[in-house]
Amino acid sequence: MGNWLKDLQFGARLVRKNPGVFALSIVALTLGIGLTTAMFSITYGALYRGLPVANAERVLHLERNNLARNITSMEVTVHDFHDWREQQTSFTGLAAFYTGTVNVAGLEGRPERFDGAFITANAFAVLGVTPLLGRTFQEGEDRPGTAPVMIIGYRVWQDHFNADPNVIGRTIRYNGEVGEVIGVMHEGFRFPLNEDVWVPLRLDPLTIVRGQGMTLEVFGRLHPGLSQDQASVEFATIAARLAETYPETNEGVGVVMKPYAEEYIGEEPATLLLTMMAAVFLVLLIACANVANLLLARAAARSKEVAVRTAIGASRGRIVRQFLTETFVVAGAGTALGLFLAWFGVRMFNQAIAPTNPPYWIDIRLDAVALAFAVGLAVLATVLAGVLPALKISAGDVNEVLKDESRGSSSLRLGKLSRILIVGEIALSCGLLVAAGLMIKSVTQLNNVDYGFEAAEYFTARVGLFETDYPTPLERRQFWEALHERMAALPGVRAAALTTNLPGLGANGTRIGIEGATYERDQDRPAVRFAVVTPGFFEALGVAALQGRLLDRSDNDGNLPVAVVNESFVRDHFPDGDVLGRRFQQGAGNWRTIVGVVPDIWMDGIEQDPGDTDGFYMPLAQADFRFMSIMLHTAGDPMQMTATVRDEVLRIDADLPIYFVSRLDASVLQDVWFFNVFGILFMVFGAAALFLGGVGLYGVMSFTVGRRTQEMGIRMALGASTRSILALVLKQGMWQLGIGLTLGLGIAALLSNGLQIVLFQVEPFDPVIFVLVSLVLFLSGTLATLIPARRATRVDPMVALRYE
Amino acid sequence: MTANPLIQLEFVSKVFHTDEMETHALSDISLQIGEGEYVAIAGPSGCGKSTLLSIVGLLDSPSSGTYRLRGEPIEHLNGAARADARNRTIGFIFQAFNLIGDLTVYENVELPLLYRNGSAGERKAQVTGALERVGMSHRAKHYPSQLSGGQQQRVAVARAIAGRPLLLLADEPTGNLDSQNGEAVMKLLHELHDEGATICMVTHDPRYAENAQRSIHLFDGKIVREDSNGSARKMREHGFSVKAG
Repeated sequence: MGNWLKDLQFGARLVRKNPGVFALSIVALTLGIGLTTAMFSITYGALYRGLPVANAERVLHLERNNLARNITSMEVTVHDFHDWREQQTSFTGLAAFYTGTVNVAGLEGRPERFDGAFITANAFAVLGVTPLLGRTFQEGEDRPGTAPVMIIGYRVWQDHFNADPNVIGRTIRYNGEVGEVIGVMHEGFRFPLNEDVWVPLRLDPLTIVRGQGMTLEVFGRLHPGLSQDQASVEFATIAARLAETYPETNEGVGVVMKPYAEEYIGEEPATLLLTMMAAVFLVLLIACANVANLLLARAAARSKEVAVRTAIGASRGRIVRQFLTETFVVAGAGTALGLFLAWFGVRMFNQAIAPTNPPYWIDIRLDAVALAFAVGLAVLATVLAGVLPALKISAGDVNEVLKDESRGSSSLRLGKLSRILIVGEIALSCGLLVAAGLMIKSVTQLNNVDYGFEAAEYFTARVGLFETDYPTPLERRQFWEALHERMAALPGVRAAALTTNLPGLGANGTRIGIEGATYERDQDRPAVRFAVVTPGFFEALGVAALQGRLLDRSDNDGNLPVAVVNESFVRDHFPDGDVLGRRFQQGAGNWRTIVGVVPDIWMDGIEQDPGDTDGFYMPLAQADFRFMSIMLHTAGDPMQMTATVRDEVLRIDADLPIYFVSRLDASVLQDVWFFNVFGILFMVFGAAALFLGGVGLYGVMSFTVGRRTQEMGIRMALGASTRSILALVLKQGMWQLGIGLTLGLGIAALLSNGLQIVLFQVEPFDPVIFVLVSLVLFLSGTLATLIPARRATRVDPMVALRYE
Repeated sequence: MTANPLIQLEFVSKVFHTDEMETHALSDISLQIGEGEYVAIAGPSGCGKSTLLSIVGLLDSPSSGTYRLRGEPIEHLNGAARADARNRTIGFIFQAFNLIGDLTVYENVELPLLYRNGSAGERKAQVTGALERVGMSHRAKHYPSQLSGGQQQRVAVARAIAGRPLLLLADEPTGNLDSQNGEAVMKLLHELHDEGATICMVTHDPRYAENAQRSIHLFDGKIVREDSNGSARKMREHGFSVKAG
């Protein structure tokens, strides 16, 4: 221990005495370890931490599939849930929920809209959570006809009830019903995703036809000692039994179960996170190669010291240990600084994803696990960066070095090893830079999408009506008409419209049948997108009809059902362009007559090219929807309309809140946060790789040239020209650069393929990016070689020949 | 011949292979050095002196022949065992001092003791004793670069004797010193020998070779002469003095 401390002290002293070399090494490892730890914290928080409940790994999510129909994931129907619950024995309990809007009035101040869960009474018991105040639901409270009750979240209790301990028993009005607050949950509990309130899921399977009605998310807690596989076997039997009993709804339907958190991350983000982990490990590898190279250079200068230590009795193992200890000092400093970098990175990441409302159990932070990981990285970096120099230096010929009076360090030949390391660095940097280049292009495209209208000039907000308050379609339609009129009349509003789906944020999907066409099966009907809009929708966006007319006030319930279709719809279904007056129907609904054609306006969100989506628009006066978005084209700052719009809605209905208030462009970009956040992360990795690769090449070339000063002097004394010296040094650098770039482009091809899912309108093999990155690396590599090469040409032969 | 040889070389040869060339650095060297002896290995540059010293010091292995250290053959020793033997049995003094620039005088002297198991207290006593012995204890906290050549070599001697080795190997110990400092170091070696140390010194300077009890002269890798310097040594028993020229 004492000796180890001496080694540690000596290592720290070397760091102080050679600040340049070690500062570069520490910066490299700070980047490598910091970025890797940050990425680990993100990946661990998103994929592996899981639900914050006891034995979270035993809480499974259950859903259905129908592989015969190519459906890998379906929510669970009410009847299937009830049958599963009655027949299964694998879980301590099965619970179900759906999430949605809960409008709450009767609070202090204005009514509020909350994210709420409509959940079975046993859910809290299945999770094993207890409330902070009051109680959770009791058995039977989720039966139809029972008195409405509600559990509120900690934040709601704090913000809307002033943390009143007597809140239990208070009655409030939610979604048109009057209910009693029976419990307050602990801080941070927001199951199943980001909920603030919980109300019982009051279902009666007897009132619903099997196979119809809403579908549910289902979860359960496995009995202790039982495995997921065993539960799967039981549920396969149950599914087979149901298929036999109810072939019309359950034939081919199977059950899929997985750890709860896994369901909400999805395969693509999980793959992406793991790709990011691999990418950041490349940064760490580059950093380690860099440090190994710098330490090799240092080690070469210390060959005499090592020879002396060997002569006085240090074994090879002891020398290796000492060098590793010294490397550990560097890695330790890199880790300490890297933790700051990781902390900053995690903070930035959390800020970036905050507007996207990630599930509450995605908890990304630097905790004990991340710290242990960082320490592990320090050890790994020590081994990766320290072993090569240590082994190399301890294998030197002691006699040769001890006899070597004038050139104590030069007898150690490190060139080949150094060159291999630098080739590796360039290759890895190239891979990461291509990935970063693709991401930069992707993020740039994303932030410069041409919507065809100025999205930054639109105010948007959502309003939801409940059947208890607005029980008939007529009442709902009257509300929407009143709202539309009032919005259009607001000062500062250039145009107003209501729509079920805002452009750029995706629209609903449906299957249609075109008049005159025949379809054997339901799946053969064309899938299209649709939105329900008020008159003035297109005008508000500045969109004119390409054929026919736009929707207007005459398109009401008493008149012919009509629709306006987009260009893609016409191209795919009426290629001859003869579309006006043609008809289609949704399911078995009314036939709609096409009265106009408009350009494609991002009905599938902005992830897809607008030309990819067939879609139609129908008038709100001929449809019945409970949730609509307000879209106002404003003259000034859209967000200044917020208070005015909120007050205007309250004037119509004092219990109705507005929510999802945002500028249209912000909503769209929030919807594609994934591209932005991961794009920026990759850019950081790429910048780190470029920095490390450049510094690495420069360091090695500088060192090599420095060690060849005498040789250069001799060459010049013998008549070598400046140009030939320059060529000599450049040649060596170019070889490494060439091999590194060739290997790197291969790595880039592999990486960019994995990135495909986060690339926004960019091909993974974008030739411009590949060429550009090769060029950037080539130029920075040439520069890194040229500087020491130029220095070599300025060597004074007389000085060089005396060089020691 | 010595009755209880500390070092025993029999027909030791050393051949270096470089490309297609074979260089015979040592040929059939047989040599014994007894405990308490002071032996000088002399000869012109390139005669094999340093190679012989490297083999004796376990820094190199003979190409053929046998080497016994305290009667034990060393051929079977692995790297770690050889390092341990170097550490406990042999103390090196180099021409270029070879102190480690990043360590203080104290730490340089302590270095060989760190490679064996011993308490910090024990180490401190040994380092202090060795520094006092060479008259350098007042410079313990200095770095080598802050010392003169002669002082550095005294520190190197302190490092060599700190672990109380059985054998001191000195390779041209005065080669980098002026005559005054050279004499001081030679005197120090004599005193150490008088105190019982076994010393084997390589030198190309015949005047210093005469100061040893025995001089072995090498030429082209072979022992060409062996002198006993008893009378010369006796003359210096009461005050060492070697005049140049």
